[in-house]
Amino acid sequence: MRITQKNLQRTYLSGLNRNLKQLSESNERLNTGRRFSRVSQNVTDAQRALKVRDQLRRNEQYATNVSNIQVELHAQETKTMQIHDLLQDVKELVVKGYSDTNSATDKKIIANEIASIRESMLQIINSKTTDRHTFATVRNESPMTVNEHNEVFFYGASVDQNDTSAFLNQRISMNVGTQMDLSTSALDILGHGTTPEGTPKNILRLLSSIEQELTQNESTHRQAYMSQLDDASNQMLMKVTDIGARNSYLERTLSRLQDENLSLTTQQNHLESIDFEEEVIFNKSFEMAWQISLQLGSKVLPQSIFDFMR
Amino acid sequence: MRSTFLGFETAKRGIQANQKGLDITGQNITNINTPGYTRQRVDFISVSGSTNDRIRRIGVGNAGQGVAFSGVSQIRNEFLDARFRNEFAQTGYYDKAVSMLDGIEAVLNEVNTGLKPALSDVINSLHDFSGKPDQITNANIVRSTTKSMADLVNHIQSQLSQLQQQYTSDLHVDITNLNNQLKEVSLLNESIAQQMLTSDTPTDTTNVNELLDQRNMILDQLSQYGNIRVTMELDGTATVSMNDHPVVFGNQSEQINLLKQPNGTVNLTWQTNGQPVILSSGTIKASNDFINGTAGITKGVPYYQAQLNQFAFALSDLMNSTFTNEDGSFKQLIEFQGNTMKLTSDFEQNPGYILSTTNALDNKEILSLIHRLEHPVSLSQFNGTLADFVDSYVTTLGQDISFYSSRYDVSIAIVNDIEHRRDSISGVSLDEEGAQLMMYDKAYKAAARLMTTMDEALDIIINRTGLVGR
Repeated sequence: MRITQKNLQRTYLSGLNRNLKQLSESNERLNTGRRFSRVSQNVTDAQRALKVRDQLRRNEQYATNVSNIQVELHAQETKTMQIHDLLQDVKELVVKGYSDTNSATDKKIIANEIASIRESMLQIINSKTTDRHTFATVRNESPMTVNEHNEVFFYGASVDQNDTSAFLNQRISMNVGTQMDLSTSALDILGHGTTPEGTPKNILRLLSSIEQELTQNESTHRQAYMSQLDDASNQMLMKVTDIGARNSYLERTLSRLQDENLSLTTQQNHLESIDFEEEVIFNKSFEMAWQISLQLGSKVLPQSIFDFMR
Repeated sequence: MRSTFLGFETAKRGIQANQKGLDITGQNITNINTPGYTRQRVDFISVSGSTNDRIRRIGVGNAGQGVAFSGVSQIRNEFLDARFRNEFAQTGYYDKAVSMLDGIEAVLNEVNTGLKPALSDVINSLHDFSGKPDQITNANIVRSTTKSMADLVNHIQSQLSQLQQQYTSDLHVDITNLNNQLKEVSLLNESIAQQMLTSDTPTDTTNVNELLDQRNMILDQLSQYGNIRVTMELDGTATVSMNDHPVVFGNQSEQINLLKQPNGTVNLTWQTNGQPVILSSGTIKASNDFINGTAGITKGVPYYQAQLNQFAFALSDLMNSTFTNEDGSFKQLIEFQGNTMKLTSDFEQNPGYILSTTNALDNKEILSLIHRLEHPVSLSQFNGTLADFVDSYVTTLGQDISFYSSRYDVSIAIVNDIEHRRDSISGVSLDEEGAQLMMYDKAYKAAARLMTTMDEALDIIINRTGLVGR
């Protein structure tokens, strides 16, 4: 093949250009720390990296949701325990109250004490954690209200009803990958309905009935009321257990999410970030290739026959 | 019978021929860096002594009359020209395709910013809202993330439209160049044909070599715009056709007309018959493909606009079928004006629009929206989550770019190779020209010496003959 000056020049320039391009691509990777800044530079890895990012963002939000639910559950648990503690005090008072050694006046005093504890219970059940009523369901209002006749209403519906569907007692949940209950209903804590014998199941109603009996110095329902109190106390403990179970489920979810994110972050690094040591070595060799091509430049147009003609 | 002064004529021709050789060597050396220059060569022939006399001649008669030159020819290979132009059209197509798609990728920019983070923001704000569905603060965050999402979609849409306009004006420039170059070729055809009339033979290009170089160079440039075929005619003109449609014939030339459509696409037609321009490669085909392309292997700007629209419509559909009024109808959050996505005035003016009026803490609607946003939806030709949908068209674009760039790499390597070969035939080599220079120089000196020798020989006859006994 006949080699002309232009051939040499073109080959040289295209080689030089290639070396410079490699160097500049490597520089870009070093500057950004990324293996690619456009999908087209590495389609398969970019596609996977985009998926990993989605999953990471989603998991982070789930983790936030878990923490939010945990704050609510913690408040619910503490307050339920407070009500339960009050209930233990009430039980002692009720035993004392029904005791025949007490005078009618004493019984009245005890009834008043019970009434004030009942008032505390009502306050706790209607209290707020930050801006949310702790035991609310669908409405952010005081869930339990008591009228002047000591009748108790859950969002306006009398708690004496047995029919569950009469109440706004839906559960509020949040999405932590699965649906997780956020709310604990005041109705579930304090109970509702009436036994066939006419004993109210709602603790507030029960306590006011007991107060009434004590005030009137009667003890007709003593047995029924006492056993209902025990039942209510057990119910409440079950609720606490339920909250505890939810909490530990959330703990597990959180640690699973954290583990997942750790491995996702590792994957992300692997997919998106460059190996600096490796890239620096490549960069050096690209730079050297470029410099050598530059040095070669002075020799590309070599001497010709004209340098030797006299 | 030889005439007395025959030898002088021979010597003179020798001097002239070698002088011309030196001239052309000089032409080659000085044009070594001229773009499109083809090296030239003097075609020498030895002068024949034969005549057409019917009478037999005695002796060798007119033999030995020396050298003549029949012309100056170019050293060029038409086959390589054709291959070069064919491949250069491919290179033109791939190069243009990559640069246009790169533009689209820069607009979508999914790796650095893009739609998915915005979508995540919307979903995450809904998650937070689901925890506190009665808080206007959270409703407001949902509103602002939704608004950012809509703004981003509109921004990308308008950038894609701008890109389309920019590509159209690039195409306009290309077509103007092409039309001018076709005109130039026809004008050169005319000049060449006129000059060729004065040539001795149809193959003698002595007077038009430089014009031929010029025309070849324009034809090379033309080939990047579309696949051309060049046929050389006997009168020296070149007939050029693009995808079998004649574009230059003699001193006539064809033009391409560009018509912009209201929807941003373009129509290309031939001026003579109004038929659409169909090409199989070249930058004009690439521009046409990616300005107009909606599907298949040429997914251009309109395709990505349509994808974006689908995404926006799907998202709005989901959001508009979530929050209910008391009468059971859905609260409309997003509306479209033309291709512009915006919040409805109800939502825009009152973030509390999405708060529930009855059961403030009931977040079922929000949870169901989150669920639908995070789970597969059905879009035309696509089943998957909205995020997957974005991934899918972004990946399609990435794959197309990497496909066309690898084709470009192959094609440009072939072009370089052909150019190498062309240079190897038509390019000027200084070593060669140096050697020619010495050769012609020596031959010139020898021819001059011949003249002296002839002179000395005649001197003997004229001045020294018949001086016996003096």
